[in-house]
Amino acid sequence: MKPLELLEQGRFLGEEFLLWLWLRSMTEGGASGEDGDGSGCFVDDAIQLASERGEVKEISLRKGNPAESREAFEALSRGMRPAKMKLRILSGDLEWVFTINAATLDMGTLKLPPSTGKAPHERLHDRLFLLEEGAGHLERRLKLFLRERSGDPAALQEQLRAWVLAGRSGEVMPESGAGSEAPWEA
Amino acid sequence: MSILQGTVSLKRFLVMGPVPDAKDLQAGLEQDQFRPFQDGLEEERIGWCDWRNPLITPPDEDWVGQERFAVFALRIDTRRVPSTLLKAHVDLRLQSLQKEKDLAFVGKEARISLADEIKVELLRKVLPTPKVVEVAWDLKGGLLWTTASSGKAQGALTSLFIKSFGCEVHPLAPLVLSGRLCPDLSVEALMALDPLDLELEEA
Repeated sequence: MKPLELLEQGRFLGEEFLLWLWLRSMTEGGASGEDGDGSGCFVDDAIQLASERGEVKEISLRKGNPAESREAFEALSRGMRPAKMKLRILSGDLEWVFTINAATLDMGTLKLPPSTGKAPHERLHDRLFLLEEGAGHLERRLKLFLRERSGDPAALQEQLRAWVLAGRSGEVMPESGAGSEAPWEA
Repeated sequence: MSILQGTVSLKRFLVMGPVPDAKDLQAGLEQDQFRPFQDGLEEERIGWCDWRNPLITPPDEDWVGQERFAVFALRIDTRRVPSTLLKAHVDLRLQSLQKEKDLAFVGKEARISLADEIKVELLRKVLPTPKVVEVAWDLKGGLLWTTASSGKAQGALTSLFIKSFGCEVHPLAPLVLSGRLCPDLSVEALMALDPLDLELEEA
């Protein structure tokens, strides 16, 4: 299969992965769900939703808290899907902020945690390490999403539909995390 | 945007093919190193350069190897003569030629040849616009990280990469990445999944 075909065929998976991250950001304190992983992943202040159908093909929600806005859930309930999203990953003292593209999973305008290296090669090693760490946090989540997605798609669909319905009516979905401590602070 | 500082936009590729040893890697970088424009009508030049400075060509072997990564950069230079300026020069030259040789008309072939001649002259005066994209090749992990964000730069990178190192690169899109992360889930099985339906009837 040609790269472009692969890209198109997998677009829905990328979109659903972004939805899953969004859901967990709101209901699981951004935790990945993997034992021992203390990182948190949150939707930041930009979401772009797109649809091939309907009169409006694209909606960009920026600034404030678009992830919890009724506009976002209205759009989701009309069948729109996230095309791009700004994410914030926290792990200990480290923070990555970037825009993720659903079709390609590319990370755009990625802001890395500060590097301590002074010499060019030290800074390069630091930054490569931090790039891999950031990508690792995302990949760990993708892996868990894929297990859930392929294992019981009906249950995931039900969970997402209930979340969209609650978000659209302005209800707050209960956090399912047991403790009050944020996972990335543990 | 740079891997070394500030914010960075990243694209990842899966590298397919045998990983070259340090000697072959350097040979590939030298063979297709960036070479500046010479006389002629060429408007684009593409080649490898050092990640620390695009004027260092070929990339310095001592700086390419960074632990399990090979780090270098792709330099894409373009130079263009603005079409309005070219046309203005050609018109003036045609007029003086007609006057000088007392010609009523200059044939198409002669006009094209004159335009090319003028373009070569003008291209010599145009400073190229360089674009540098960084490349970090994880030789053990088989991944390529790059700051090439435009389709043009990505296309140039993939073509030159296969020419220099004999390895194909494929964008690490959701299906490819999924296959890499969960080898037990086949790409076919993932493609066969029905997209989740979140549309609410009363919406």
